[in-house]
Amino acid sequence: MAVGQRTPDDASAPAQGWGLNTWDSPWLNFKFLLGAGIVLLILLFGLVGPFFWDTDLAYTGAGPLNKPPVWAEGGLPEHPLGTESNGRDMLAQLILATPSSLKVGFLAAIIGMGIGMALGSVAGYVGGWWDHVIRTLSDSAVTIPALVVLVVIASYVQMTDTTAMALILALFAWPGPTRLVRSQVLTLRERSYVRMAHLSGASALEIMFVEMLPNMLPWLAASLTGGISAAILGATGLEVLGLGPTRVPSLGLIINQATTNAALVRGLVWWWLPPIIILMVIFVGFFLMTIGLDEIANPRIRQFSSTRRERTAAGELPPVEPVEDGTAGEEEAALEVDDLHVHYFTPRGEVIAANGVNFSVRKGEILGLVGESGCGKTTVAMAILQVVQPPGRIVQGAVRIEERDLVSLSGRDLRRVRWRDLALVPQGAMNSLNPVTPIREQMADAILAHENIGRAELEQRILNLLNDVGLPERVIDMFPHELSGGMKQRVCIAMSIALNPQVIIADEPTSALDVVVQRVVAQTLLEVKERLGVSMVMIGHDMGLQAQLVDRIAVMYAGNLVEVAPVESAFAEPLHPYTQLLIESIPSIRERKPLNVTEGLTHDLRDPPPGCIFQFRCKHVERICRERRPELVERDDDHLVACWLYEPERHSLIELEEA
Amino acid sequence: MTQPGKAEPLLRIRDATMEFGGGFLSSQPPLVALDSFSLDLHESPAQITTIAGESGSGKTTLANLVLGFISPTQGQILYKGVDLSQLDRKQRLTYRQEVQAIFQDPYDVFNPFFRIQHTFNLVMRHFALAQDKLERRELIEDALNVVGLRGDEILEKYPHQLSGGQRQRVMVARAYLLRPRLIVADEPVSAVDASLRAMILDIMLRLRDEHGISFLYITHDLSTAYQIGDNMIVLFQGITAETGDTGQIIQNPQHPYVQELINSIPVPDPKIKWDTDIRLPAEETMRSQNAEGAPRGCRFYQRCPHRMDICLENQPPLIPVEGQHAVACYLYES
Repeated sequence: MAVGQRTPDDASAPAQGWGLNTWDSPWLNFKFLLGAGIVLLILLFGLVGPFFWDTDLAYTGAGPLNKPPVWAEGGLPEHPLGTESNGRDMLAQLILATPSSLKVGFLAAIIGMGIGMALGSVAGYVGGWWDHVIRTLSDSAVTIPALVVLVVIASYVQMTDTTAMALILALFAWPGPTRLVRSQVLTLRERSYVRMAHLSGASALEIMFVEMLPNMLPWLAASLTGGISAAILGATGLEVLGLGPTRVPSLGLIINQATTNAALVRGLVWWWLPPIIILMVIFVGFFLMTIGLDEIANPRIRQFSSTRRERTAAGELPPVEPVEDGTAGEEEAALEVDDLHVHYFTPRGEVIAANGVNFSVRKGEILGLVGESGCGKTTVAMAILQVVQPPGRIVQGAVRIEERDLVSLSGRDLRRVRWRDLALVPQGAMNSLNPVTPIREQMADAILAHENIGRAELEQRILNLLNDVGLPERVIDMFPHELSGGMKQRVCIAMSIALNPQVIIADEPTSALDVVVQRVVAQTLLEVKERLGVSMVMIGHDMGLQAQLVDRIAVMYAGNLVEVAPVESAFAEPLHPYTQLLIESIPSIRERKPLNVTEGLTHDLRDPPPGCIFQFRCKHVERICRERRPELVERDDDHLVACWLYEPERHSLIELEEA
Repeated sequence: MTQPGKAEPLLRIRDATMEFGGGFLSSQPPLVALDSFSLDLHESPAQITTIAGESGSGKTTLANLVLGFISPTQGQILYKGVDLSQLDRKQRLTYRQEVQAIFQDPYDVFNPFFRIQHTFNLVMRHFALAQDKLERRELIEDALNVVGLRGDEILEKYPHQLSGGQRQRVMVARAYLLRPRLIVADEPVSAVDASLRAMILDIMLRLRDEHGISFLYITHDLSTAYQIGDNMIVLFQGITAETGDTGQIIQNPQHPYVQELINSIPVPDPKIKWDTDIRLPAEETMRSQNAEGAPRGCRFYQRCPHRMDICLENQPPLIPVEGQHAVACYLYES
């Protein structure tokens, strides 16, 4: 739905730009390549083997009986891997058995995948009764114990070759791919680009194969490799039981014959161990391929596994030296952000999301932090809360509450500070509440994690909090899905004030709500502030809402603060050209005015220009703006701006430098 | 609203109702996403008609109906006088070409697997717009120029290599390439920044004025609708609450819901604070449209400050107040 979507905000945007988008080399995944290499080697052994070794020896049984491999005592060079009780050569048997086992696996998995793709795309694309029937079938097929049924079928069907075996195995290889393809199609068909293709006159088949299929390739491939090893396992199981084709060599058949001839007891290790080793290597190969493909399909897995490394790296940072700045000390500050630098270490370079951000939030005020997406406002909020997600990292700076620097706090101390001193009202409350627990428990958890109070008191406390945000008492027993978006957001506000924090960080608290509800929630926030005297940082991009809510406003552009001012003077007399642009381009319902068309962000965040960050879009750009970055300086009463326009000495400054 | 003597309207929607769910196997009553919606859109003069509403109002359902993604449960949608379900092959192709769309999310409208070129190739091939490669290139270049882009800048790039603004403009260029008569713009600016918003809205105005393309501008944002829209229909829970000239509605809203909506838009001036606070009576009822069976009366009854007994009886019909301006509210029944 229109308003519910979260805009890809901030420099953390790589989250959506990764994976399939970096189509440059996603298959260069180490695990995938290693696995593929292993499988390829095994395959080569079977394919090239016949050219170097007489595979007839696998059948003839002309050799001596029970000879160990060549390196063991009594081994013969003409039978390097030994012979078994019928005098047949082991190496020849393995050369023949390996590809035939692989063939069964590939064939069964590919047939299963083919059926799955056909059924899954019909179910997902056509829907209706088709979907109903196919889904019921595939879901119930999954619950059938495959091996038991296979054993029953295999005992009735005389299998003469591997193809028959593969066909029987394919009976159990289709439900997985069917379910996968169906869910993929259901997801993809709602994507705008698929609808666009539909509007471009593309047929259903074209949409399926050209638009959708490439985007599910990694998933399909992962499912295929998983399916192959499952089929090989199933085939081997049947062969070991003696239910496979008996005239065609296979790894399972070798094990079967070894066991029926009591090879285990007689110590003929070279008979039963080699096929097991080959099977293990095959499984390891496919397993590596599968998890490699999983990582290719879901780049987040890889991101997650690199999380730890990034964290430890952050822990080794040198202690930050305190930097003196002009904003602190004048008035009592509830929160100070001091020379904060946050960088995102993306594969395509270092994104500077916050570059020396300096501001303080005074006691009992609401500070608005505004800017367009990608400007770094959410990054700053996350940095204040110490929850910057990897690959992002605070590389420099301090965040202080009551003289304590949160950046240097340990995990446990930090947990104590969060909620109690510093609380968050998240964006999109619908996603931040646990859907399976009633409101009472969620609020109780937040309180009990920090305070030890009795049941009755706890209950009363929760009811008071609900009352504070204007919710009826019966909400306490309701589940999140029974509440409207606005009510959920108010529950989040109630939770954020549960421990009387000094500062609340509100990250676009109303951005996913309808205007009428937005107004109710905004007014709730104002009431809470008035009543509790709490300070807030209000992250947002809606200048209208900011005008209604905040006391002071801080404007960010491309990771830099460009203006900090009381909201009245910021709107009446914006100093920075960017702030002027923001205010001019607010669509009004009072007058129709010509649209103010400008380019958006014009430089790459990985490569900020020297000089002023806004120089490419600024109407008043001068030479000094291109060479030296303006500092945030107080130009008017409590009105700070980072712009050379307000520096009368700017011309002499640059001449001075040249001289 | 039909004008006698004139040609068939470009798009005519007659009492379209769209219900979801509630099949004979379902225990729940169907959800009425759009209820007896009617609209006439004329080819000339080209106009921007805003469909405004909040989440759950049925505006996206309407977009999907007009684009042919779904068919109405009841009622008709006629394109140039022919019902969408009755179009023959040739008419269907024309309709596909002439009714195009711009979607909300500039990040999702491109298949990440292909270069930008693919988007244009697709329409080129299916609608056989060009004879040869040269003409094809010229047409694309021309369409890109309309939105201020150049082919060599973007065609060979992958979607993630373009900025949000470039992507959204490419989508407009793609639509323009087909020389459509109508573009359904589904929240085209709600996911973009202020600077980009102005650019997209400006392109829409230019397409209307210079190329005679009509727009169905679907949005929850009344302010941008006021900036560019000609006519407006405000939906509330699937019902047309108010319809008329955009200026009339915004400056002088008649329906209590539309009044509430307009009063809730934050004024971008710190000196004019919101007036007395509002309370939503029984906020849960906003979601319980169908909880106790489809209501017979006005959908806004629960929240309405002026509710009367008659409002419980029936959904009020559209009552004309002035010129084209009409309101579905018994307050205006003479």
